[in-house]
Amino acid sequence: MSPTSEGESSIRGDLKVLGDFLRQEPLKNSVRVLILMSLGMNRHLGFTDLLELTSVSKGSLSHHLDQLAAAGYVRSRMVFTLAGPRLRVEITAQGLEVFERLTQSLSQVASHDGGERESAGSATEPSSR
Amino acid sequence: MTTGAAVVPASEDDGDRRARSTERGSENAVTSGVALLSHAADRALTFQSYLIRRAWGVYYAIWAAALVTFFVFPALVAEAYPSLSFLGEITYYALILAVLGLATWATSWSFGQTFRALNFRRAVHREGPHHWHFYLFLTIGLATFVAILAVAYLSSFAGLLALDAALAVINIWILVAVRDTFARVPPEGSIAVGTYAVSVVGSATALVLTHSQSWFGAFWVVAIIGWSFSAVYALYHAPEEMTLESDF
Repeated sequence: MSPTSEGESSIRGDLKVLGDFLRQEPLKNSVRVLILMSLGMNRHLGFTDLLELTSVSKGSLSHHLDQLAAAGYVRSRMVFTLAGPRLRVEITAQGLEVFERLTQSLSQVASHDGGERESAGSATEPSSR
Repeated sequence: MTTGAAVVPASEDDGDRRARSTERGSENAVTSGVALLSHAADRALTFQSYLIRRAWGVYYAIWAAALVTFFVFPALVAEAYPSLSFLGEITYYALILAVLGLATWATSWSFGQTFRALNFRRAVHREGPHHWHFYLFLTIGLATFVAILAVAYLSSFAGLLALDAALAVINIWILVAVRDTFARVPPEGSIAVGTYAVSVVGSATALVLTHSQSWFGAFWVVAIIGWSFSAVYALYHAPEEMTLESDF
């Protein structure tokens, strides 16, 4: 197998993994993916922070959080802060696992993109067909 | 040499083409999914810049309070109670340890958040590895700080000079951390590092020249003022990092 076709099959493989991954019901919506990414980096966030992050309505955010909670990716609980009781959303171990896989897949796709850009810049071989 | 394509029958070639077309269709769907993911990742990272700047603000505030406890509070206690009772000493050291514990927890919390964001940014944007020594500095710096702080209370002159040296190392680490975290060092970062440097150099010089602990502590007021200002500035200006498009 030539290096080019090896590279292509590797990209296809990575895209397939990512595609299969995104077909899961909780990850079909970009707002839920965004919430999961931010929680993956911060471990927990307040409901108000999530509202600012997503720019969706309170009702819509609650719906997305319910979907993620039903999949076991996040859990919410009331905490007492200096500013009064607040709803805190935390990522679960299962959610963290999904975040790690998502990051890994994005990283692989990004590295292929970079590789393609590099090879496109240096490609000088003319097509023989 | 006979090529593979020349021996493939026409019907098989058509089937192969159809399969490839279906595969390309699903690949396109995945590619648009990847574009959507990248968009979500960029938005998450923009929001993270706001959270990180806010976390640095909290970090400056907690350490400003800690510096008051370490450098101003002992002088006030010594002034008010020249000889502490056993219970008084226990309370005094318990308070200092509690503040140190809180400051260490705040440091690990805010830098844990920063570390994960840097890792994510590196994965998404295919950036080079971040400065691992930055975290090594954190560990060594904090350990040295705790050790030297203990020594500082046992032997005044040598201990305080050693404490200044450890604090100088921590200042270099803070500078590396600020430069690693932000694309452009924010004003509060420069103020915090600058006033801290003035305190380290000033207190060491004062100690060597006067052998007086009062002057040593007095120079740390510069850092306390600088860090308090940095805290307020960072918390006030953090929302500027959030240049999010309203539609997502």
